[in-house]
Amino acid sequence: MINSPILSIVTPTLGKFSEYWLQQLLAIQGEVEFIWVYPPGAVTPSVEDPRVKIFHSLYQGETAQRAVGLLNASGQYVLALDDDDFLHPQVVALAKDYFHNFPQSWLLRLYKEKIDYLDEEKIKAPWPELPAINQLNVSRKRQDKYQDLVEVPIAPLDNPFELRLALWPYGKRKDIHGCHLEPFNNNIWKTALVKEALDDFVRNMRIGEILTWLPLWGFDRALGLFLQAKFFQKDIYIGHWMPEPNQIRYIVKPYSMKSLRILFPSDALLVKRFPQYGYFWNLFFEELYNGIKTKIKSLWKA
Amino acid sequence: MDKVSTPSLSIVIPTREGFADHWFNALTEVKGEVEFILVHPPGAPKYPTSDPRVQQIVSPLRGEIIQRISGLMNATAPYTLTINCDEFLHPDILTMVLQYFQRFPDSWVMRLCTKRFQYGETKELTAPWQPLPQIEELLVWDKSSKNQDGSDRSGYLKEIPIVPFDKRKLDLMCFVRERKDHHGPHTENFDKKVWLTQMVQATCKDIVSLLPLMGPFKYIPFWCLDRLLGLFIQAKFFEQGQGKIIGHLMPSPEQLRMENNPPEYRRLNRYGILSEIFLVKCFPQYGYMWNLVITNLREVPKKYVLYRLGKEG
Repeated sequence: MINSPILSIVTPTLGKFSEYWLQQLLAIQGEVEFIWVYPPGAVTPSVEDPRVKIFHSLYQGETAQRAVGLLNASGQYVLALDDDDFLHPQVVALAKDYFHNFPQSWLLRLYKEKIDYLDEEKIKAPWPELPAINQLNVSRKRQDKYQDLVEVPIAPLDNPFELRLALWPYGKRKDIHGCHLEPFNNNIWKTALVKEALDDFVRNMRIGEILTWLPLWGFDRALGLFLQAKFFQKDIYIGHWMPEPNQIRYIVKPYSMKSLRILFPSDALLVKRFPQYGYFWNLFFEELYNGIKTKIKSLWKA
Repeated sequence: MDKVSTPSLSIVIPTREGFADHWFNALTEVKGEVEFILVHPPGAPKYPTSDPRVQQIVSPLRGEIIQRISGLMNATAPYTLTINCDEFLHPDILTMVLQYFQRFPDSWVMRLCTKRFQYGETKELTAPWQPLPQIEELLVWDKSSKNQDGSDRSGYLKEIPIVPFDKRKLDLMCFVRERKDHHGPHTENFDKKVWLTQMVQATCKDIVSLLPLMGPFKYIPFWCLDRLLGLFIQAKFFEQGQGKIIGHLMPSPEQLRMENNPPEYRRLNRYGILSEIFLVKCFPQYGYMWNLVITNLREVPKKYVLYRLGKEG
């Protein structure tokens, strides 16, 4: 048993992952723990590998399952991974190398290659060697060739609220553009920061004594932004974006294979906790209208 | 959680910050293949220990109900017992549990003999434990034992029948006086008893499915899982257990020692109605459940006044 691994890899799952995915995950080298979180009552596999830790969440859903996994991570760094995406086997050494060179960083954003779910050749191709962090150039902007370690600024949360987004259902926010990041997943974060923010996040879900606001989806972006809001300092750089070769193979499935996802209930938690940030109001109104449109479309199709 | 062996008994404990070191040390003196599942509230650190039998879960939400159910859902042994983080277990409890379910393989529950102490009676709490009797040598105190001398039942296993849900009618007098349903040899509460894990987890799954209200809204009361789960499990499996003896109460010496809550954790402001209302929702056909909920409802103003006065209620 590893007492305090370098990296915790947290995966909410229904247990439908492929044998190949499992094999690839367990091939990851170094001091790592794999946290799988199942919904209540799910039958769990018997895995001999002591690095695998299995939990049952009380609710099925991205938010509940992933929150259980992250709160129970014991690694110095933590990474959230879906149960159909693949990670480079040297990712632990990469995390160690990166945070050794950049101890002030909050996160390392991994380079993600999007691969069609049917493209087995690309999915199963051998992983290329990763560069040593101290041999990479650091730059502020991503060049045409992804060879540098690019600085990641904090999200511009203090952007002003745009009234047009609240009034016009087809308005598009511009906040999203830029080098900053919104999602939590597929980035390596410092666990201590994540736990502190997550503790605040789950407290914020309580409404009075007996009600809890627990959204099904949208935890990925909500937590990524919540972290930045919790420790917000204007115009700072919070990490770096890795260059090629890819460290994550992100499997893209057609829209028809995905379940209906309405995200504004998660974004509402951001507005509730940090109403001072216009960025969150812009996000909330855009997602509110998106949610309404998605619901109408699904009812129309039904 | 790490699986270092196949445990026979899961001991589930929802914790609060600052539980006593001496309590934890006494807990891990329990012998054999048990797993201790400590469920901490969010933000609480994991307790440093090298005992591989200790599994620790940080719950995303704080509360007795949510923390205890989280632990129960993560239990992996065939038998499950849940206690509080100030209660002490006999170190040989596992041997007794295994002997009991070997002798009574159809039982659902084994009720522990408990002894209560005032807060601060540390010396008595930590006194050496008396040896436990061999289960196979104990006589069963059943209906036919009525003719025997009832003054000393210490050497007997006392039968526990299932709750007589079908024999109790709605009693409207519960609006004005105490209910009478709880009198009898049956048991209502879940805690401090060893149950079959499979039945417990199936019941917990049902209870959890009741919590979502609408969309992202979940109704999660803080306290009072004990009686809700004890009655829910018997109602859920009532058809299989009708007229059945579902378990036995263990004789002395005690297997569990409990201490009254310290002053800072007095039982204030706990309303059973908030959780036990689910019993009426799921089993409206049983007058027993209505009588309980009506009584609960009647107690709300009294409890509120006691709470405002700062008294235990």
